[in-house]
Amino acid sequence: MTFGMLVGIDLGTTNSAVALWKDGAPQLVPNALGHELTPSAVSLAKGGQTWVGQAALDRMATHPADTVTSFKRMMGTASTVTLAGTTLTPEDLSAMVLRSLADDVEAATGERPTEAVITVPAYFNERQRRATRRAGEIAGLEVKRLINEPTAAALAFGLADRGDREPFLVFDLGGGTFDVSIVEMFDGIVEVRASAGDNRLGGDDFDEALVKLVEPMLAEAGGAALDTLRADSRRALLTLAAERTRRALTTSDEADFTVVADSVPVTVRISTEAFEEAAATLIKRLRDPVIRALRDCHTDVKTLSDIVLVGGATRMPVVRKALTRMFGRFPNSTVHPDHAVALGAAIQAGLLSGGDGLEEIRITDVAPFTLGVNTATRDAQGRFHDDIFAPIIERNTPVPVSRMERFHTLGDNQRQVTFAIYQGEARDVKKNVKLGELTVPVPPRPAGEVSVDVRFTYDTSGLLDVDVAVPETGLTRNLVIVDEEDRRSQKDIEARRKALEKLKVHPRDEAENVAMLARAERAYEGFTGHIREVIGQGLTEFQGALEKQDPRIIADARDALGRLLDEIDTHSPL
Amino acid sequence: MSRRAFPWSRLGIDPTKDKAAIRKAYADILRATNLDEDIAGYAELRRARDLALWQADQPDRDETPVLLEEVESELVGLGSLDDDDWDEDGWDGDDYVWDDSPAGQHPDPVTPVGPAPELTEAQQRAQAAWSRMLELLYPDGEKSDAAVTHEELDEGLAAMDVLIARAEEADLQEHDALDTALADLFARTWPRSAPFVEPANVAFHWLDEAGALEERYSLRFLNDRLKGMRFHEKVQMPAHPLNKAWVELSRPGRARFVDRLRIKRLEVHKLLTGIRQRYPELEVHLDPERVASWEVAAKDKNGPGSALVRILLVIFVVVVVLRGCLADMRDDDNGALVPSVLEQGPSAEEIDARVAEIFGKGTDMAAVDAADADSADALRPLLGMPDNKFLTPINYVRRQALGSAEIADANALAVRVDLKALWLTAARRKSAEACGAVVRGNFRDLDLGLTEKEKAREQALLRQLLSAKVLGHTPKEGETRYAIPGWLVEDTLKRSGLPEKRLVAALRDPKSADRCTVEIALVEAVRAAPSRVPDEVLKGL
Repeated sequence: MTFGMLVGIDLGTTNSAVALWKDGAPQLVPNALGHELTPSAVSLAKGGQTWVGQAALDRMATHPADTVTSFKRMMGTASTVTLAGTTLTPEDLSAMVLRSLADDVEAATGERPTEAVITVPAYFNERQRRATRRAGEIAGLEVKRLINEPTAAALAFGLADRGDREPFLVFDLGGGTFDVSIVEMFDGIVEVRASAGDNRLGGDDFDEALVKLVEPMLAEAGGAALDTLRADSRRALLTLAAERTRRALTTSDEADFTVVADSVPVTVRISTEAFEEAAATLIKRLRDPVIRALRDCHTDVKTLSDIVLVGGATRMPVVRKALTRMFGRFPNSTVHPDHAVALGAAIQAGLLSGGDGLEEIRITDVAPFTLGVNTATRDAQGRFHDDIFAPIIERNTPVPVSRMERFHTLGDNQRQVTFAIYQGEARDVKKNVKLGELTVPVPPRPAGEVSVDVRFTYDTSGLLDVDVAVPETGLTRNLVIVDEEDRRSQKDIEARRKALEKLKVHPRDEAENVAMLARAERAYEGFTGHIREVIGQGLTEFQGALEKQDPRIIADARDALGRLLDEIDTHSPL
Repeated sequence: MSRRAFPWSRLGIDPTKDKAAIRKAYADILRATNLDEDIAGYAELRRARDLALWQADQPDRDETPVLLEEVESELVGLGSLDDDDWDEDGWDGDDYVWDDSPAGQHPDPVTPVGPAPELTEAQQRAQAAWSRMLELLYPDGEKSDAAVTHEELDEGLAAMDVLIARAEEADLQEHDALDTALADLFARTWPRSAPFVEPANVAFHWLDEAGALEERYSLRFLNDRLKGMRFHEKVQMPAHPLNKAWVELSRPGRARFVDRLRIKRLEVHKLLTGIRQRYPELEVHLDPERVASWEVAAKDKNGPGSALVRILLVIFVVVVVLRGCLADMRDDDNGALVPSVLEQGPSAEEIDARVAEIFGKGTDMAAVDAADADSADALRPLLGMPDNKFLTPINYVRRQALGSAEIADANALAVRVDLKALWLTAARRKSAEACGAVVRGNFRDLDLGLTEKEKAREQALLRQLLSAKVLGHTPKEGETRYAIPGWLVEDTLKRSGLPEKRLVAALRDPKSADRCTVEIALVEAVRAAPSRVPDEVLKGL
């Protein structure tokens, strides 16, 4: 039992969602606009005015330089973005989305959530996980557990009927990451058998492939004006157009790719075949993780009971077609690809807080990557090579796990041994992710006569604990892996939180108006001629209504403008 | 109930093939465990569950009652993995057709059956490549040990490219079928298939499977060879710690005095024993004369050496011993015989006398208890039984001694081999059947007829095992596999006086008339140089 309120959050590349365990079932919490999905987008203006979610996404077209999306792909790296003069880390940006989700929960339940289960891609590495945890803390949420996205989706899928299930495969292709997990359910145990993935592959890459495909075509079609745009505007325009086209291609064989540059619309027609060809290399990359996961848990593809699709990018016919070809059967699309992960996170939250109806359920997961240290050898010329990876915990080992390896000194009278701790699958440590370093003193002896025991312990929260012992001297050292960012104290996180609080977020009751304004402004820039005039008129009327400050008048004007924009969207002449 | 063996002891259920029951037992224990607080316990629980499920998948041995008394052995001479061996031994459990087409669903490319379904162009190309591969690896339709020529190599690699490309675009089922078909083909045609194994490993990640419980049989073989090739590659690089020893041993001619100063004897020894144990196929890269000269030198140093030993032959012996005798024992423990013990209640003196029969005068039940409580517990009900030729206490202890290999240390292993030598000699004197029984580790209803002197020796040896606390161990059922290094084969040949063919045949066929002789010769050869013998041979014997 916990004291604070515990929520489950899917912090996605494209969209995020929050859910609660309530009355024996997971429930999604809608945002201020009444949507279950909140786009993972942040936009800032000079003076600290901030937009999060749909409004921010709509500002992408009008203020590309001050708006950012897909920042989940930067998690765990040192890169930052500067929006309207404010420099923000990926953690800050994620924290802003998390805070907005917490606001939604507070509005819906009257209680502010203080704790959260946040989902991460199974193939997220230790750094990326820690960054996610920090984002939660900056947003004022204690992160009780990080749970793998496909595991969460499996929970949502499997707990629907509580029956036993033969191993099934969760295929999770999101906006920026790709995960495959093989999961089995029996007697209330949800067991992840193996996970594999690619944390640099998602719907965004398909957009990019589409952009690459159309760029030469646009130039031919007279899109010279595009070249006069600033690089970031140009990129934002093309990416947004690509996403629209990609969505259109899910329902028809052909779709128009349209951008408006300098009030001149340029359109090229894209066929499904052309898109498939452009995406062929991406489609190929979907295969290896599937084979690896199956191999790692020695599961025959024939025995899989289901192929469960999760993640918005699995809606693409090109992906479904590839999957059907790969598995020789149709995948199961009964779970909502955008909701399943958040619902699963809420189930995990329910488990942690002792929610009713979950007493019999247990989840066991695996470590999705190999953890180890570097080892050294000396070549014939006496030079050291200290870049060979010695795995200690192999990938897809059930967690928690504790393993020990013994190493020996390499030099005569060596005084100390330094272990660098790595994560990854490459033999050359340089190609793996370095997590930390640990040095122990050893007694001077001839080479190879002193042994050092290294024990790795990886717990259910995905935290790595390293113990090093020198049996001869009885010395022991312990290191909980903390990287640079983590070493920044709690005070620092507090400071970050304060800094973000200075940014002005629109009052919640204005959210709909703000979003509508942003949407109308985007539409205004996206059209020309007569339609542009109509939108301009609607916009002026809405702004007039806002000035009157009468909620009823504002609501009426907003509805009118919304209907107008819907109409234009559905009957787009472009 | 208290004496269930692993994995059942951990799962807390009786042995079963009911997977649902195994999963349920696992789930119940898991729910009662805080994983983060009992990490080792969780790992053990997983292992128990996995092993139990795996066993449930294995063909049921009890279904073929003949096997109860039988020892199955399998001999795989390296480089002679001919198809006959495989079919006889049921190498991979089911009757797998080696020349199955890559897709598993298309007709056999060599002997087509039934109407051919429509193949896509890509499938046809793959079929052609597969047929080419078969022709290459089975020149003239026969298995061949000759290496492929340069042209054949290029052709084969080109065919591999086509097959791998096909695997990459085919559905996962066809991908797996092709993977398995190639693994089987390469294992069967080794060593001719050697140059194609690595490309296949790169495409199908074979080595990732190495060491796993579910590792496919063909991969168990190929992965060892792959590791050998890796080692071969690495050892030739100057950076490798054994490189100097490797270079030295691959030079032609006898080692000169200077060489002995230059190269550490220990490293040569390490290299030789290492490759003989793990990658015996690599020994062909070494110069036999050079190797021999080093070995003679080693012998000189160790004391009077025998004549020059040529190491060319390495034999893998796989022995499957059914612990039928023990299984019965366990039943007896819990069964009807126990009450009779209570009724008759032999006196403490009688029990002590029986103990002294086994371990020699001066050792009574109290002493056994003090030395090894587990053994004492196991032995006690047997000692209390009325005389029963079927399973006497001494035969039980003998069986335990033989089964102690799994946990015995070097000393106990040596004692165990001494015991085996003693029993074999006595049994051969008695009858061929008795000797066969000892070979199979079946001591039921067996009277060895030891002389007084032998008896005293046996008692002394058993006492040593008792104090090493290895007699209470319940051995695993199943398969032991070990490689006999070449020098040991040579020595066994010499001691048995049998021609090579008959020796090999005897190892292959447990019912062979020569088996007893061969085993005695092997035990003697091992006892002559125990320090040189790899542990796995000591344990497997």
